[in-house]
Amino acid sequence: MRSNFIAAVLALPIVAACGSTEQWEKNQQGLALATQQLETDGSLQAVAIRMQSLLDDTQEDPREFELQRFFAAFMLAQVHASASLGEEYLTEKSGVPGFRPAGGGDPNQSLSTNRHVLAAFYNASLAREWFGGAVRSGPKYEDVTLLPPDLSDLGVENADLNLVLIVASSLSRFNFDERVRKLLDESVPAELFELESCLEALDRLKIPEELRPWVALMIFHHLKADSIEEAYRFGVIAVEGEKRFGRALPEKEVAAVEEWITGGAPKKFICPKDRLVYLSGEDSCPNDATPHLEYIAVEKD
Amino acid sequence: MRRAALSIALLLLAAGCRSSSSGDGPSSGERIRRFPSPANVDTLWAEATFFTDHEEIFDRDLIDKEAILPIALRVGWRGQDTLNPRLTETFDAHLYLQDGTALDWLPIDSIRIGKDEVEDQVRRLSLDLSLLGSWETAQDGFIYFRVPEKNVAINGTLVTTFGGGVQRELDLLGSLLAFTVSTTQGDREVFVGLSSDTWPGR
Repeated sequence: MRSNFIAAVLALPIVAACGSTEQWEKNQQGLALATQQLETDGSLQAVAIRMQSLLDDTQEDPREFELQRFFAAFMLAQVHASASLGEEYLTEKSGVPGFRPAGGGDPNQSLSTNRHVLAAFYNASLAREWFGGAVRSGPKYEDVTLLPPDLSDLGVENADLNLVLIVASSLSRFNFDERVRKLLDESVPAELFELESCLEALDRLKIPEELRPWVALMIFHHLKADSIEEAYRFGVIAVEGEKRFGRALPEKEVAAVEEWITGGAPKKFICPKDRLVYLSGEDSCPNDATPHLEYIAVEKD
Repeated sequence: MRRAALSIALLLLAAGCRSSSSGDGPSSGERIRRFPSPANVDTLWAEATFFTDHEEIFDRDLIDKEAILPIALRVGWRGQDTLNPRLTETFDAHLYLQDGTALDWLPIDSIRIGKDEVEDQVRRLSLDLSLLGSWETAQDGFIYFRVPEKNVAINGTLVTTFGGGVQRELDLLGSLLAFTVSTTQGDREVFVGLSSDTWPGR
């Protein structure tokens, strides 16, 4: 008798949980609000808190929420990747003598790009680990649709490729070039190594605008040993980040690309009309306005 | 009867409401999320090591007793050096845990430990901030980080962070060390992952 009672008590939470879809609904609403906030330039920090809370609320039963957790980590990766490129909110102690933060504030604390890059890398890696479960998950739990339309349309496979690019660009920003090369070789489809299809893919994969010049830069470095002409085109896009994507790369990165174009490459790049060589600081031929992107590679003299 | 009833309850507990999907096999996540060590930027090379026998090295468990995490760092240049690299007051090391939590670097002059012999050892084994030599001749020197005890607990290579009523378990060897090297062409930020080892002695 007593044992039957114990069994019933043990089973009770399961039965009760089966009868409720509350957590799935709450997660779906959280994901919907987060995607909406990101699209309307809402607070990155607010989105991050919302998504972290989804992960925390579901960590006791991760397998019950695999698809929603995958996309929560995906959203966290997007938030931190964007924040790392000019919208930092995480801080860290500055050990540099004489450091004074812009606009006042705690003289010992500075905004931290590195913390955001690392958080983007971590959450993207986590989501990629949960890829298998997310793929196997159905789109609904009982009568609850698990994802908002934006994420459902994106799909798990596209989201995973987005995450590969976030992981690779994070590694690239930490100068782990060998790891980047390996990841791009193993996990990135050929369409991303051809400029036009790559630009289409960046739209389809919903890569944050801020990150696109970095993706172009990464592919430039990846291709420059074996595919000079295509590397050049990615290099031009990376140099023209401000014009193309509304976000410029740091001067140091731009200088490194232009150094390769104007001297380091095994070929030289010239205007197909008047054969004038590529000039740094311009975006087209000063004589006939042919865009740098249309320049051709020729043997060096 | 009793056993049968309990079995049914446990089966229900194990199964849950939805059938759990099969696993993906052994997770390679920890390995994937670790960063390379040694690592380089141009000709500068660095290696960061967490010595698991740190208690024997310092004759005191600095993590447990002093909330100080000792990390050994080896830095040097390879090939032809033209940059005159050196570690200066802008060294500014940061140790980032996997989730982005930053541990503050403790400059050696700021470290106070109640036991003189332990403090002497901490200073004696600390990294010299000076002109860097070649990678082949570079030696490990320790740098130290404050462990914020309210939020972070370290047990071996397992890190537990607490915040917002939630506990997370992280891999210490998935952390990232960042620091700045001064060169004739300006400052270079160097990033390196953590490896683990036992102390070979000096």
